Amino acid sequence: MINLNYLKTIFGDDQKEINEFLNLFVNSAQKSVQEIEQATQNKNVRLLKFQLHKLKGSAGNSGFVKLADVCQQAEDHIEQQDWTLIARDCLEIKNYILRLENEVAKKSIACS
Amino acid sequence: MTIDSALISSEKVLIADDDEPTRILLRTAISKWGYQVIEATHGEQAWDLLQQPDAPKLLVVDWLMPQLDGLALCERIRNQLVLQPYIIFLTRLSGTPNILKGLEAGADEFLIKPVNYSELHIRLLAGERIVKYRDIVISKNQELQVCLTYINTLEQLLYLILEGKK
Repeated sequence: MINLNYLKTIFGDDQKEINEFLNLFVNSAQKSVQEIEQATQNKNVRLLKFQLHKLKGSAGNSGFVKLADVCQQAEDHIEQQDWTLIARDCLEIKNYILRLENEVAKKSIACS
Repeated sequence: MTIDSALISSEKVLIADDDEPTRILLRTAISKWGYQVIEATHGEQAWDLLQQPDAPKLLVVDWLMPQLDGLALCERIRNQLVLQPYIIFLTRLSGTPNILKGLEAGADEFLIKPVNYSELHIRLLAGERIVKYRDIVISKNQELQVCLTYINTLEQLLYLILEGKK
């Protein structure tokens, strides 16, 4: 799930710095998920597109290719106005972030 | 990320991106290349920073940002700033129409996210080189203006002397 080799090309071997970054990414992604959920409930297409695009960019830059792909998939479903599929994508994004949060927590414990 | 010492710079780079993780990744990479990094979380903040004395001459900007997006920021820079930074656009909006849109707005370079850091480094070095040449041209122009004023004064003096001899 975590592309450690990619993060090492930027942070070097500093595991503490990598963990700090991963925690920050999880927090930032959780905020995005909240916004995405709210925008989905309100069917606010503009806000939903903006938040998905932002999370996609953030995930892609941070090495979370699968998450970026799901965001892209949701963006495609917005174009089709398929709210059932959009809701499914949002759930997938939420679950991904939850799994990531657990993995990051385990990594942080292992390093402390 | 190994760095050739010849590729280390001391130029300032302004990163304008509303996404904090992306800013951290860019800041970490760019400062390792020796650049001084300044950050803005939206276009208006970047615009304010670009108007300060000794403003950064290199700008790495995201397209989609709140308040003032990257495209509008580029257009404002090209229309209103005399000393313009070298602009590198970073976005996930790929495809020729988007690339053209970005370049037409005034971007010098257009890189697709996720960022290829080696490519970004090379683009920054190219931007730095262009900015340096531009600064040399400006400085030489100023010197020429001083010389021209001096020549004009001498011409007037010569005219007065010749007039006096008549």
